[in-house]
Amino acid sequence: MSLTDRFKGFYVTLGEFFKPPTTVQYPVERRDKGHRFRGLPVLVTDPHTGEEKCTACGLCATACPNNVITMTSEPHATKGRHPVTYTVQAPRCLFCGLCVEACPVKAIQMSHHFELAATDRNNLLYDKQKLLELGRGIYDEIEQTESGEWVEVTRFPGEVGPNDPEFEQHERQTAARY
Amino acid sequence: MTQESNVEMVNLEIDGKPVRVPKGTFVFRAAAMAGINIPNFCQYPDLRPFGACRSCMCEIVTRRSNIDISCSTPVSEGMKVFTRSPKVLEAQRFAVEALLVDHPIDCPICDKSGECELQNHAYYTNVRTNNPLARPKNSWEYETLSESVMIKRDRCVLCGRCVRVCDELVGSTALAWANRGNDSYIDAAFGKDLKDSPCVSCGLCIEVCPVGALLNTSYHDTARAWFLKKVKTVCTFCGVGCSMELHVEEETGRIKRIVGTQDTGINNEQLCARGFFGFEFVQRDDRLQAPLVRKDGELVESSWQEALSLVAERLPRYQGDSFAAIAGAHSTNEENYLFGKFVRGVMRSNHIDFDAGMGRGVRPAGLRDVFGSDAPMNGFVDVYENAGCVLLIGSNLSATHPVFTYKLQTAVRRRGSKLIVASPQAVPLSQIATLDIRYREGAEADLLNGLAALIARRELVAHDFLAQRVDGLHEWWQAAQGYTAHGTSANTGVPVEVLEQAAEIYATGGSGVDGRGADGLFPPSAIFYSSALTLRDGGENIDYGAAALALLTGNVGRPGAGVNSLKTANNSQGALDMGCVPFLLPGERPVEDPESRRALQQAWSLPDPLPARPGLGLEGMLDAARSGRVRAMYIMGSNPVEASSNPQRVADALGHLDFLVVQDMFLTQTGRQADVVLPACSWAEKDGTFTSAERRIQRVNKALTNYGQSIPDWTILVHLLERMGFERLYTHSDQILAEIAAVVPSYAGINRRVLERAGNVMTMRPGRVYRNPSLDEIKRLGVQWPTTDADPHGTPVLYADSFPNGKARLVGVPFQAGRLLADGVYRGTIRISLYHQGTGTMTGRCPTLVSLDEGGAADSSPERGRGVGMLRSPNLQQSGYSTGQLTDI
Ligand code: SF4
Ligand code: SF4
Ligand code: SF4
Ligand code: SF4
Ligand code: SF4
Ligand code: FES
Repeated sequence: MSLTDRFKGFYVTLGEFFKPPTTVQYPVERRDKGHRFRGLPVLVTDPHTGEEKCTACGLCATACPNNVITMTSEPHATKGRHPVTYTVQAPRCLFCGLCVEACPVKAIQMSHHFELAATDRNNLLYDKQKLLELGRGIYDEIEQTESGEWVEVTRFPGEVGPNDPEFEQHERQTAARY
Repeated sequence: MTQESNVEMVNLEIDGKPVRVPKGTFVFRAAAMAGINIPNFCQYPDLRPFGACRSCMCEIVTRRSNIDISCSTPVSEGMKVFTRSPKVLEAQRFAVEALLVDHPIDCPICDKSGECELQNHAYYTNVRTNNPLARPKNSWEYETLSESVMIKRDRCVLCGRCVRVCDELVGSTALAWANRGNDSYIDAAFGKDLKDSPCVSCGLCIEVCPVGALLNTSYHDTARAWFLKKVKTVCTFCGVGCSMELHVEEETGRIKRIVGTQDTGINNEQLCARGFFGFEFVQRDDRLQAPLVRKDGELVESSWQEALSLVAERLPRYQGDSFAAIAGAHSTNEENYLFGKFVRGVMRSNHIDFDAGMGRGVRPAGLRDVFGSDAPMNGFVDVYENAGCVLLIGSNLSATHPVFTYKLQTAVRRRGSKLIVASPQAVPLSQIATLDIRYREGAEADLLNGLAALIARRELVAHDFLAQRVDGLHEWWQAAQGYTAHGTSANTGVPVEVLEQAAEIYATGGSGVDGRGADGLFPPSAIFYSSALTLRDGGENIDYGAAALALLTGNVGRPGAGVNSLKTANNSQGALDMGCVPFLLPGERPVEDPESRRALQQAWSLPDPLPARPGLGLEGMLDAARSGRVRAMYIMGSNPVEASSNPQRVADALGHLDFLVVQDMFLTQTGRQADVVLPACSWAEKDGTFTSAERRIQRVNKALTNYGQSIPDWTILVHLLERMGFERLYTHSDQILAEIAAVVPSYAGINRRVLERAGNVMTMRPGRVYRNPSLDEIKRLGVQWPTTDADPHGTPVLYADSFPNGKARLVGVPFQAGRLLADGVYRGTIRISLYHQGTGTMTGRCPTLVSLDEGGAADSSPERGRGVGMLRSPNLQQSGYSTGQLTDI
């Protein structure tokens, strides 16, 4: 290692020194999570009916390697069947997203909720009500990719899609951050 | 011993494996025997081949037309078969793709998902195209066909299994194909409502449907197949003793459904409505949660501590003749055995009985006088496979022992067994009977003795058998002579020709007078009736008549024959074997016999000898309670108040008692009279054994955790005995079973391993050579007593070599002209319904069964005679009343 290399290093440090800090003052300030951030799996509501989309098919529970998800079901007038209870045992979840992949109706999504500390283990059992609460604002949208293909993407609260006017500004801001 | 030797065997090769099977076997089954699975829809083990779905294709390279359906192609010598060659896979893939043209593939909301043969098949054949024609799919909505069956027709693959099982195996013919070709669909026969059809809601069509087209209303959308834990057990309702699987959801710990199982018990997947839907009571909210103790005239919840201390403190005061007990006909053998030990050994009383039907106890007279035991001699499978003729008397077995009648109709229609149905009114089986006899109510004894006399006169008797094995022929003839054809006809109201015909069919095993086989014997004939028929006064004469018929014609101790008086509840036979009868000790040994008493005293290590005088029967106990001679009673799993046709009288008698303990799942009318009510477990919550009406001992397995604070009956008794100062005797029901095996001679050598041994395969299946199975082959899961320590595998046919008393003794019933029976004097009524068992304490709490019953489904098509709610009048002594009267319900 030569002496010049060392000065090159100091130069980088000097350059950063005058920029605003990257550190985010969590929990006062929060960083935007990436679109594919994998927080707690939650249940999504159908915007048209206001009910949960889940049909209690049990595939998520079967796909889950840790037996995190359990449910009981009953017949339902429009969907065929629906869950009476639906429980996610958060302490066991390893956020692999296999349940989301398994779901045939996109009723379960990896939310951006990641703060899973509690003073009581029972508070980490998420029942259907809590999961629907956390899933509020998550919806699916059809969008066109650059190659012209139409795909379904999931939107999270606070997140904006490329069709939205604020999109570009949002992108720029995010880019500036990192 | 097996008759395998006289069956021609064929050698062939499947996928390179050499296979040797009997001639006539279909390639499909030969492959299954070699452990090769071929996808299939319309093939079903008990049905005739059908060949509708073309999905079981295989390649037979030794033939010219080499792609063929394996389910209907019989094997031939030297055949070479491939089941997974490219050609086969291509053909199978085409079959699946064709099915997907209209199939909705709504697996996420389909009950069958996870156990669906279409899913498996598509996976196996690697089909990845949905909707190959890319046209809109035909779709159908859910339709509820009846309280029990739903259909989603667009999922149907038109395999026809449902239509065929309903016709061939159940005999109901309630389903049919409607329309032709592309428009065909499955519907109730004649497009009527399934409710108005002969459907008996047995659920078999739902079980065999390979896809999610036929659906179980009570299971629909409530669980996923792969989350269910499957526990093998035995039905808790009637004496047929069907084996079944309870499907319990692990997450909730609730029973979600019941299914029958292939190749285990005698029922081969068949169940009746009670077995199929009768589990809902287990998880009802009105189950007893905790012990109840009477305080200031009110039953209030209390603790086990308090309740048991109270019982342990009060009971010893009534030791001896002022104590009486009623055992449970639905409790396990272990429980009844322990109960008997408690009553005889600890309470020192012989007043112990159980409800043999309609609130009546076991009667001492009857078959026991003739043979030394009243147990049915031949089993259901044996009769199904071997009987030449079956005579049913005065019982609607279609309601009391349904699955047996389903089997019986298959034997009649498939094997050509002759069936004589003698009944005061039409019963479902009358339809397929060779001879349908209507006699005057209550004339069973006259009819049977008359037929026996006719047979004796016509010299259709088995002389050798009579000479070697029967006593009292001469005395019998003295009495029976009076039964002339005309006299019998006058008494019974049956024309003489019909009597002659019946006598001939029965005596010759349905083969006609020239039908003697090579051994000089006619084919076997069996007699069946419900033992409830003989519970009235004079009922023993029916037993004597039936026994005379069988003995005269040598139809005892051989396969396919026998006198089979079927006990009604699932463990009535077991309760009797365990000695819950006032005059019998465990193992049917008489109480009067000092030797038996001494043996038992020794086995139980009791300091004092057992009481020597036979006790009071159920009715006697209640009378004694009324008169104050019996002052305390202990009732385990029985409900004499509601069982009786005169509930007020029984309740009144119980009211006279000083102390009454009732052990049950629910607070019944009997429980309301009690001083202490102890909550007991249901059959799904305990281990043990049941003995079915055909003497088959089968295991019951615990599937659920105990409800509330309830504990199994035997555990309650163990705790009680502990509190009464005895050491803790047992910690598991298997320990009691071991003691039973040691104490009860006919159960010798029984243990868990013997009972769980795999069942043998039934032979009377299409695609197998029809041949009479040997006795070894008809031993199925479970064991028919008597067993011995050396051979604990049971005896399917009783009395093959000798009778318990050496020889059978014919008992004559003198003829009495104009033994006329009052008609129309029915007072109390108890309905016998396919959808209820006994008092309905259990079945009455199963919503599906109740709605089936109230909807008048099934039981209710007069044209098939199902419709007949049977009315019984158990306490009408004079009428000699038998099976009741037709009413429209
Ligand atoms: S996979 Fe989807 S629809 Fe099925 S149970 Fe899970 S969340 Fe519900
Ligand atoms: S029948 Fe089978 S393939 Fe069809 S929807 Fe149901 S589970 Fe899926
Ligand atoms: S449930 Fe009814 S339709 Fe189905 S097989 Fe049984 S009798 Fe036939
Ligand atoms: S309903 Fe089921 S059993 Fe009946 S034909 Fe259709 S697929 Fe086969
Ligand atoms: S009630 Fe009798 S016939 Fe029906 S399933 Fe139970 S044991 Fe079998
Ligand atoms: S199973 Fe062979 S044709 Fe259906």
